[in-house]
Amino acid sequence: MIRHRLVSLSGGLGPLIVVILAGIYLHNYRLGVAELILIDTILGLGLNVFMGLCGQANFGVSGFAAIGAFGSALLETKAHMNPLIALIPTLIGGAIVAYLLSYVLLRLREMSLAIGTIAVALAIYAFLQSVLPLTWGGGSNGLGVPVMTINGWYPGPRLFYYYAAAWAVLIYVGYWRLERSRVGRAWRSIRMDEGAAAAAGINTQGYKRLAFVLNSAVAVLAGTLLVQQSGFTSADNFGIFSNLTILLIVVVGGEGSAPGSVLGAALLVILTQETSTISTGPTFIYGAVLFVVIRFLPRGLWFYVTATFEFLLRKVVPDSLLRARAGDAHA
Amino acid sequence: VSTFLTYTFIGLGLGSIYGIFGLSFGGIYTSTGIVNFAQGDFAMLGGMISSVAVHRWGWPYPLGLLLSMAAAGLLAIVIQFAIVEPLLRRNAGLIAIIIGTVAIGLMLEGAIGATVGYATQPTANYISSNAYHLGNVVLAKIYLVIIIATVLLSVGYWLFTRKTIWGKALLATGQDHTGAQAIGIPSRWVRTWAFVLSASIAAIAGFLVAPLVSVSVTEGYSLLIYGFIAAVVGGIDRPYAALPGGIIVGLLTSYVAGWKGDYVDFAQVGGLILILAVRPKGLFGVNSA
Repeated sequence: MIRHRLVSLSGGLGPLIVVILAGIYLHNYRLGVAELILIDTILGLGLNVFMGLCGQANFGVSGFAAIGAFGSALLETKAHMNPLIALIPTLIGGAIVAYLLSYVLLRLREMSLAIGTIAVALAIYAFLQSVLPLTWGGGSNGLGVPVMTINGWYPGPRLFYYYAAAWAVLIYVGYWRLERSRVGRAWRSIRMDEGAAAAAGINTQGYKRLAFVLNSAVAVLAGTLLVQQSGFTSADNFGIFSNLTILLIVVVGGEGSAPGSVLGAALLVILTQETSTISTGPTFIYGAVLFVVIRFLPRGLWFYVTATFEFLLRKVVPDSLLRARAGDAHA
Repeated sequence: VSTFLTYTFIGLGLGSIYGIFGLSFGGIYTSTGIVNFAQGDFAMLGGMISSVAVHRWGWPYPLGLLLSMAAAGLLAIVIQFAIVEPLLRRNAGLIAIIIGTVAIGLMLEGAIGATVGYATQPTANYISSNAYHLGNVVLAKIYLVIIIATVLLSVGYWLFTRKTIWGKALLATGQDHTGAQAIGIPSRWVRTWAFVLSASIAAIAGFLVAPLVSVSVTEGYSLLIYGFIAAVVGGIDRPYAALPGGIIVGLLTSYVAGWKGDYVDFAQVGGLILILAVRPKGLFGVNSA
């Protein structure tokens, strides 16, 4: 059983390992692309907790990423904190905001929840755009942060890359553990039928709140990474379109699927980079990809990738061997 | 006092726009239970196509408006048959359907951006920009037109849903889909009809608001958000509640803008969150949950 779990974890880690290994051999611009993929993976995994596992709509993730980006940027520039130390109060602050907001948002369901979360993201955006610049600066002009160093020692641009990769692996394994825990099962039961879950004695509000706070905290973390990655943050980075990208990662990769988040993030980041020079911009292509996935591939890309792989495996490997392996898994 | 009255009038005008747009969600929401996130794009079509028709092709304004309504209606049929019906039949979740409507909206924005251009278009100024003066109170003509159009549209919508057989069928489908089918209502056609109706109302809103905002491909987003806010403040379960909801939001916007312009966006969404916290079903909604 333990062996089986390890096998499934390492199999699921596949895409993430590919991204990380690729990053080791990439330079300059392409290294930046790999970093963005890692950050988007983290955002996707966070949203997958609330949307994939727990089945709730959240269109407000970018708001919390903005809290992370601006919180850490302000602490670094105004209070001269080290990014690692600035991360702690930023995360705690973001989690408290999420916790308080959850009392408002989780009274809502489905459509109203979708709109309520959009409202939260817009409120945070409007705050950063118009209220914050009056006292602290920022807004559309943005805030710059110094390059990440270890106590002043700068080993090169790869330092941030490994830092981001370490977070991606940590969040990934954490997600994988949660998915298979008691909490993960409770979330899935809420996703399937909230009423039935409540009737079975599951504290549905509590578990939903936990999922929302985790989702938001992970987004805050990703926000702090984003500002380190570009060395700069502006309120314009967190408009309504950025939310769409995060949502797309989850939907394209497959709701509730951790390897799917990596796949979705990789696909979307590369797509965005490659199409940014075309005059129609990424808008049409985003829409087309989303349409094809929603309409024809409802389970997300990762599911179809593994299904194809399994189909090919069946063609190559003798039947008796596969049956033995399946029996192993059930034992 | 006169400044206050001027701002009240502007607030009423703005609120009417938000209200019409909130109302345009209603047709789709009552018949399918989904909020169409491509609704902003219907309004964008209303502004863009009428602008192209009037300024590039030299058409008269009413024809431009009709053309944009037809285009929005056509788009609504596409959304209905390409995404909503297949996903409803598959029993996909509401989130999937929302994202599907977003997908079509994005494709449309890309397509319009590629053909017409992303730049801001010249607006179809269907009315002169001067104003009436009552003493010191300034009443801009454009807001007057918007208010009158809103009253006409909402009365028309009300008469349609209460007095005509198609309107009643629309309400019935929304209340109980299976029940409506059982008594012989062709619910798929009713839903299509509801989509077209909503799209045309949104296109009218986009056309009316064009002289006040800059008409561009991304214009739909701000209208979408205002429409949401109006609908949620009023209560999404009741289509007409979007009208008073919109007017409340419009007045708030106008007063805050008159006091300190920087805070407008924040006041709007902040107010929305406050209302969601106190009355999650909206001010005039049925609070059953």
